[in-house]
Amino acid sequence: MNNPATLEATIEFRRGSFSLNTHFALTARWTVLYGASGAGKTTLLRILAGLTQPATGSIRLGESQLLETSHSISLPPGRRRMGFVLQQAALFPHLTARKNIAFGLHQWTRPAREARTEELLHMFEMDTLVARKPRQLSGGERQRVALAQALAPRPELLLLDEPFNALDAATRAFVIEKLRAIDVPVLYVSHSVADAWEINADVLLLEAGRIAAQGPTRTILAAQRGQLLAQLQS
Amino acid sequence: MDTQAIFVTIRLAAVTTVVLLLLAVPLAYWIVSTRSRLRAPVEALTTLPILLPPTVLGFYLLVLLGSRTSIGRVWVHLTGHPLAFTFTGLVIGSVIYSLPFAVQPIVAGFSSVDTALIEQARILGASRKRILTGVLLPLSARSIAAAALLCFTHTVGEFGVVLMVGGDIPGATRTLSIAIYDQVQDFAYAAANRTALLLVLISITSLILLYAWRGAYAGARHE
Repeated sequence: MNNPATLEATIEFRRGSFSLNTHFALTARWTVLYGASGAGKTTLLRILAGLTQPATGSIRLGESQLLETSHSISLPPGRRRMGFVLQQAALFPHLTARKNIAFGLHQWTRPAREARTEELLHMFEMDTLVARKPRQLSGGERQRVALAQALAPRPELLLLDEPFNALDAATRAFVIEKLRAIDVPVLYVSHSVADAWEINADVLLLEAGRIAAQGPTRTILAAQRGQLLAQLQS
Repeated sequence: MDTQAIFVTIRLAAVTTVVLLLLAVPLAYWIVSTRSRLRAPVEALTTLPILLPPTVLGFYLLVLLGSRTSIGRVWVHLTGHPLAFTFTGLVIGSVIYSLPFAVQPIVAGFSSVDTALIEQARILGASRKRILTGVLLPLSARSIAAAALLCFTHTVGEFGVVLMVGGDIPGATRTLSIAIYDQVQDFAYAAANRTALLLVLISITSLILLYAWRGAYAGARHE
């Protein structure tokens, strides 16, 4: 029996010759949004986060209606309770790692803000990095800070846009293990079969702006097995 | 050396710079963040003082601030004296004249901030005000400092608008550039030379500071 949907979305979006026309529901803790470059993965994530407005659509996250164009409802990004981590961590270069993590907690009381920041610093083993600014951090450290920043306000859904591509295998395994331990649903964008296979979650297969299939990784991506083997061999 | 003119010039440049920064920061923020059709006309209006001869700008300001317009009449009603030929009138003229020198560097500074940072701030719940104060301003500090320096130096060297709007009242509206004009009219070339040299020194010092900042900034970015 399926879990109740975390996220349910119907989206119609057009820009130039590209169009996105999707309907899907997320029921698993981890879902990989898989598709080739140009399939519309990042656009879909931006629409979910409220950074891009679709022509028509409806997005529900848990009990909250985030978007309902027929009723002119569109919550701003800051009220959608989503965390978003990009491939290139968008960290504020003038702030330390600690202040970057606490950026989204400005409405919390100071003790709560400090406690939450400490908790995340400890969780991602960044206690020694607190006073460093982003340019003083390695790529892996920057991504850990970006994840902690996105998780700090306790989002109801975490959107990850290929954030681990530039990480070495050990850092990548560390981060995925930490994320699995946190009780937050994840929508993880990838164009790599190996990536999707390793995460072994539900897959949303996006092809040219349409959801072509949805289901367990090993069922949906069986057709890409040859490509996976080629990747593993290389 | 006309010390009164030095005092009036420095005071005018300082007040104009402060007023301009207070106006230009929100205006620049609106320009970089709006999708309004008014953006192009507003940008054109803020740039217009660069192209207009100062005497044209001064003439319109003189008319606008005079007792024949409602603005001028309201001012007289509130303060008991007209705006033209006063220090306040001079500040208004200087602010309008130097507006592009404040707005354009700040717009350039705000525009150079990575949009991914603005979007991340929005996702993390930052209001427009917090995006301005917590992201754009700190990341555009050098552009704002450059704008302040340009405004100050440009105001110090003003002549046409100052003469049209402020006239030549010692201790009130006579600035260094007006003092040079007076000294040349009186054939006091040695005094005019000293005053001119002072203006050259102020301008060249400002430009050296500006380029030193830019050089230091470019060096820091490439470290």
